[in-house]
Amino acid sequence: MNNASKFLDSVLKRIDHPSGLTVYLYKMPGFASNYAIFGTRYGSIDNRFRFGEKIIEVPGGIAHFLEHKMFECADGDAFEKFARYGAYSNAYTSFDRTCYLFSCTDFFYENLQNLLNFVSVPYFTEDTVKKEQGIIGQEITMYDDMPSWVVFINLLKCLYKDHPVNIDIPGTIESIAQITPKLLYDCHKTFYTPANMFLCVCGDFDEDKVVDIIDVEIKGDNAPLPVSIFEKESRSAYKQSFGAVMQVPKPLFAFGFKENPKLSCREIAAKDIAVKLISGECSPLYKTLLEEKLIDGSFSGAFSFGRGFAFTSFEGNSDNPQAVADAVLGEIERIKTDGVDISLFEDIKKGYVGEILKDFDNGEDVAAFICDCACKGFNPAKYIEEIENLTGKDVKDAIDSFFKDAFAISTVTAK
Amino acid sequence: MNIINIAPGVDLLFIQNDRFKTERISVNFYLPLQKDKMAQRSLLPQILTSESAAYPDFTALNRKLCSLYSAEISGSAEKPADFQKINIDCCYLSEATVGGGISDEVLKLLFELIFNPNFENGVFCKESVEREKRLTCERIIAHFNNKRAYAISQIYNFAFAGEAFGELSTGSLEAVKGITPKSLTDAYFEMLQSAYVLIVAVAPKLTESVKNTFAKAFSEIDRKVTFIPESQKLKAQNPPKTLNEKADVKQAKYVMLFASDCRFDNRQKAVANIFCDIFGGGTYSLLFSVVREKMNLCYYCASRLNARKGFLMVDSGVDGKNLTAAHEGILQQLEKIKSGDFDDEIIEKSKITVTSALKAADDSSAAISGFYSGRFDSLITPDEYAELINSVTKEEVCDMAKRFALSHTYTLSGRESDE
Repeated sequence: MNNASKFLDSVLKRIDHPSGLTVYLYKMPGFASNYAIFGTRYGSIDNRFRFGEKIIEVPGGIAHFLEHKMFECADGDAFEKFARYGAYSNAYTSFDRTCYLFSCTDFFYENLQNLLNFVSVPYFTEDTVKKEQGIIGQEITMYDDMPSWVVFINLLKCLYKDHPVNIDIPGTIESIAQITPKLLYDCHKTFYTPANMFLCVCGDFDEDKVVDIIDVEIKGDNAPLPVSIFEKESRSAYKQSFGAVMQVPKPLFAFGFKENPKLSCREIAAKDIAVKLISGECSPLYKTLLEEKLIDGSFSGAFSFGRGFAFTSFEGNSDNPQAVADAVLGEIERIKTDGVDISLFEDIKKGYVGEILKDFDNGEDVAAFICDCACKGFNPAKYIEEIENLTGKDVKDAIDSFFKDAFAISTVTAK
Repeated sequence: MNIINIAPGVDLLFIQNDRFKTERISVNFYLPLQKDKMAQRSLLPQILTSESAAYPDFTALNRKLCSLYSAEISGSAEKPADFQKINIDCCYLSEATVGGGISDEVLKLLFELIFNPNFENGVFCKESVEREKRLTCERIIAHFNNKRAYAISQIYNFAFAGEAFGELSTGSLEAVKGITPKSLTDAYFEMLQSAYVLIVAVAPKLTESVKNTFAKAFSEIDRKVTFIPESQKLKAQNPPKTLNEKADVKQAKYVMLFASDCRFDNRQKAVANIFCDIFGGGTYSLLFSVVREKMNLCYYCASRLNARKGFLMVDSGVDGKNLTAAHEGILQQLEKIKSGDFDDEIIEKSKITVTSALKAADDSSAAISGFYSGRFDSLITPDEYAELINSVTKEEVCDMAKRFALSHTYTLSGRESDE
């Protein structure tokens, strides 16, 4: 298949709804289940923003807190309504987005209406906010016990001095204690405006009915697009290293590079491929690291990108994290000098397109891919087209842009 | 249901589906769970899917799969009850999606991996065995980092002490370290000769090459299948047995096992399925809506059923100071179900959710394959099972709940912060 992007373009429909909401419809004829995800470009990094004439700063973890609270409605619990119609529902908050989702096989339109309605209409009271502080407090302690999360967030604290990507997504016990109903209403008003949101629907549905429901539930509010304020960050890492100590059976590491956050769709595609070329399961480095017993099956690499931040990270368990880091740095230097193995690059590119296409059998996976593209600000078909058109030079440029001062390493070692 | 016997003890179940962009062939080997053999058998799917005689270098194999549009051939070993299921699963973009004879090429590769391993002097290559052993050992050692999974494995180890089921599905660290190329090779041939095999193919059509390739390969093996999938039930304990462990954790983990004397046929499984779901399944369940949401006692609190081993497990993440309250809160919900003190509406919600999940299973080749391979000894379609679910009554649910009694508890809590 040479034209995966054309295929996607032909099956994925984008509607720019008059309310400002961006809607993606992916038809899956004959499938029993339908899946919808309703998201806002609002995540844990958006804690300083313009609110009317003012700039306000809100406590860390408030986006995630808001996500939890949205399920509580004036007329009952949104979970309850989904359950009545047999839907599985959930939500998540990441650095740059909050997404609400459901899947069901029956009562799709009722569930879609419920989704659009409960996310659009906030309802908070002092009592319910207080109760949630207890539940989220428990979630925070759970993350504190996860060394893989601790080592990752510590890497971000090394890479970033001021950008709020260095703050834990659920915040801290202290920060969430400052959250009030008023602050939640302010955040909802600012970020849950249709023009800042997207809806993705996948399954076997009637397009007109979906649009009718959106017409009823989503009204344009002419609100300006939210503006989050981020301090200007140096291109270099804030700190070179950080070590934490926990009860772990084996050391964990996360290291990587701070990257230029202003990248084009093609440059992002090149970064994604570059990581696979450096350390993916087909790479010579992966083989060497396994044979030298420096890594195990937990090793992985990824490129991450959002508003005002971008980084490439490598994570895993190892008795010698520094040796793994040295090997990855050495491989990057080797490719900088020797150039890209074009035959390997072509296989990886083909594999990456296949990976994405396979996701199109699953509504949840397609929606996640589309949401990711929507948050990064590019068209999903365009992203695939960029992958298909990438050249060895694009990937070489992506690798050449890694530089020493942007590197940091975080470890968690045993007590 | 289109199931055909293609060799002694080898069945091929074909599920016709032309909606997918992918095709799937899943080969499942079923063997008794034996303490002295489970480590070898667990390592088999790892080594078989990492290399072969034609691809002795695992990165070359990975690259070949990548060039086939990320075709996946993965291996896993599970211990659903007192038997082991060794699975070699293959999923690739369909002929209709990418063309170019991809189906034949992937099938050839799958066949090569299963039947033509990378041997040296008649046994698995020593270097490869050592590599896979190390990776498994690292996984076992790192297991503690996932406290929720660790707590569950600890209660299994405690409640099923002495039984193979109490071990990790990989086998113990010592057992993995003790594997040799010879013992692994013996386990491989034993698997080919004595396992019951169910191949599940999900594709637009069943090609002769799939059928003939496997039929020929298995027919050439001298097979004697004696496997009977019977499992020993968890023994009820009165009073319940308790195990407490301390570690550097901020959130305590609390796990409970409830034993049942019930013999679960498909009908009883459906009743137990609804009971488990309204106890601690969906957001409408009593553990979620009452223990978590109203009583604020747990961050997560969920139940799951193992009908073959005759137990229900509740696992929860709890603030250390709330352990006693959580224990009591969970038992109160069970008593409510036993006495019928819950809304009829919850049963309706549960039935809709469970049947919806069954319908949705038809939308995923992985779910289809998982559904049938989990019910290999009493095959039933998702539609037939959904009918059973819909016929469950409140009275049956209450009676089912009465057949479960607390038998074991396990707590992993902080060194200082708990009650």
